[in-house]
Amino acid sequence: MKLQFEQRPQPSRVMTVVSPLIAVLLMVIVGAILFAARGIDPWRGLYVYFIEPVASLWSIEELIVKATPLVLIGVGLAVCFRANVWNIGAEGQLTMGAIVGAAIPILAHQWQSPLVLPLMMLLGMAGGIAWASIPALLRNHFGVNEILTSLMLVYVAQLLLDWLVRGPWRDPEGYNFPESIDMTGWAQLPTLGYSRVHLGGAFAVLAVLVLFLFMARTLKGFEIEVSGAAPRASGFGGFSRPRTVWFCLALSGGLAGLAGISEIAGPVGQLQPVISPGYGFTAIIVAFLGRLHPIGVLFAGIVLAISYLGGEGAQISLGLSDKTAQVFQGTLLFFILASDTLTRYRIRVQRDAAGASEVAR
Amino acid sequence: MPGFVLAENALLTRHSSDPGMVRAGFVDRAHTRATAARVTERFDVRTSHANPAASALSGGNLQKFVVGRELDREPRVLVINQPTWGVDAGAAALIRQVLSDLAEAGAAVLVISQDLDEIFEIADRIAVISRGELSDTFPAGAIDRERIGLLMAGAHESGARNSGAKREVPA
Repeated sequence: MKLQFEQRPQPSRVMTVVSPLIAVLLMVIVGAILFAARGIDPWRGLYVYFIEPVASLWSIEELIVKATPLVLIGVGLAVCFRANVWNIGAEGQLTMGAIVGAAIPILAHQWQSPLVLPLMMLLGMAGGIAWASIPALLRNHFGVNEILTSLMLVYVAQLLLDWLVRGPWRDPEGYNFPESIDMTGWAQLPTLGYSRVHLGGAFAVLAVLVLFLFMARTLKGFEIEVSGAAPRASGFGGFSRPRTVWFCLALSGGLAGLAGISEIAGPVGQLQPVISPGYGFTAIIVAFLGRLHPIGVLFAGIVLAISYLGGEGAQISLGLSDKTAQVFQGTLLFFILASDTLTRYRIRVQRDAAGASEVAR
Repeated sequence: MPGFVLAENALLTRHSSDPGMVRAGFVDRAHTRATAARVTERFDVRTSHANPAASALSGGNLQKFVVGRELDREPRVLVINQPTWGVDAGAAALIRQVLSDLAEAGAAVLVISQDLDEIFEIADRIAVISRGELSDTFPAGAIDRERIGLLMAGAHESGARNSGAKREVPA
């Protein structure tokens, strides 16, 4: 017997919308089974994981703080993935954005001016763009697969950050801890009242709206869409594939860089060896869960932010490892991709005889 | 592009030649829809509703739309391969008419086709490609089927495959 994927003539529109919901449901079921296997009451586990994060004002603020980088990065990746450009290294672009953006307050900390913050943001984006341009360059001129190069550059960026905070950029008054000086004064992002919610949240919402209009209404957005869906046709239409590759990587890299410097000028407050709990990787799930659509990404970012908060809650009140959050996120991505595949293909079972003759031929 | 609606397919090849389609980087959706509707109407493309996805059209209707989309922009130079392939007789006649009109109006039209009837109907000058070699060009009145057949066979070589006739309409 043989199993085969067969393309469906017309993928169902309803299923395209429903499949992420099915994926979330399946993730919850698997989660409940996992809790039960660990001897935890599944209802209590799911409550801690998915309800508590949205049950109080404090946790909703924290939810926005976590969703901010996820949405910023995810919306850029959504555009990128639509063009069939696979930027897997947003985590590295985030790190480079943080490093380059934090250069001003660290190297010129006496300089206090309202210009500091906008400059930091611009430099942060520039850092992300520069880092994402490397895979674009390699792809366009040497045909190197951008999945590998963007991913491997993550580790280069993280090691550079690690070296900087242990070496040249270490806070001289920091008791030898591997940390830079704190972001103070003009180097801090304004926050909403006394909460941890910062201006980065507004950047994220703005990016969603701008990219929504961009994809729906502009010729460039159309070019990206066509380039991903029908590369040959896009060539006939006079669109350049290398230009699209570069544009998409730069866009998603710039947004990841902005997310990185926003973390430093916001909730993290200084450079440290580790500045992100894998936002750049989780944003890949955000992009897919959001159907690669800017508005969808906004909601998906909130869902994945819940999984981060739930993971923290599970550590505190259930005594589970912080890896639980990653298990949930990975399970979710698996089910999204599986249900997407089954929306486009159906499984056909071939009987033994037919399968054998197929092989014989 | 199968998954895209006709207006988007019109936008694909005409975004740079049609000044009204894109303004300051933004797509004028009313204009692209109107263009698609005009092509649909003029070339008798049968659709289930206004602006369907290209994949919802039958092969013949899709061919009518694709050819119509290019003819509608009134090009000054046109190279077209098998323009009436898979199209019903009425639409084929219309496409041939438009090709002739275009040439009449002063455009350079090069039609590549294996349909000899079609070639004799609209061509002013005819040349034959056989085994990758182009024959001399003959005025349509000075060549007949038999001569074309010989040229297609490679004139004095036998067994030529993949030959096609080519018609030219002078600019």
